Amino acid sequence: MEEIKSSAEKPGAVAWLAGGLAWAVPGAGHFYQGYAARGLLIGGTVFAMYFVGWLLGGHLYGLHNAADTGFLAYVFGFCDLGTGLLYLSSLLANIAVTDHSQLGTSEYGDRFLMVAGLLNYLSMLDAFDIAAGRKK
Amino acid sequence: MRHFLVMVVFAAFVSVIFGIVGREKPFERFVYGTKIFAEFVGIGLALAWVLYWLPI
Repeated sequence: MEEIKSSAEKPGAVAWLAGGLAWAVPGAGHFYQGYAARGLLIGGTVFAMYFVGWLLGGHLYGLHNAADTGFLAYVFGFCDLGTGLLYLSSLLANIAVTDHSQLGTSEYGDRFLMVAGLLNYLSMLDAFDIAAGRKK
Repeated sequence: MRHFLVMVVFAAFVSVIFGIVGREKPFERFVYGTKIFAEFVGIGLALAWVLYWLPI
């Protein structure tokens, strides 16, 4: 049986790489460690949630709309940033940056985009822990 | 109806990730994910019912 390391042990470079990959591309951290099905499920879920959020009229927060939204733009932007390169590339390509508040579902969309990021942070920590030998 | 559908879709996405991250064995993951999904939808409906009777 595979041994689970104590949390006091320092995680190695592989753990940081797995965590970084998991943040950059949802599911990649698990995929990199050989958990293909888990990686595909996590990646598929985060991407689908992001896409549904965008379809509902949600938009991304961050430095670009801090002037209109105030301090909350940083908090919400941090949540959105969880989707990694998806967030950064969307900002560069001007996708999901416009506020569609005229739509009845736009606030739902905002929450979907944020929670997609938060769930990816969670899966990033999971990938890190697996690579560090703290869980299977 | 659209609001309920959005809530169900949201609960489904969240419960998939919680199920994967929260448990280590495949069957336990399935049970935990299903439980989270049922709790999201059940509590959502219960809160909606309570708010329906509140005079606000």
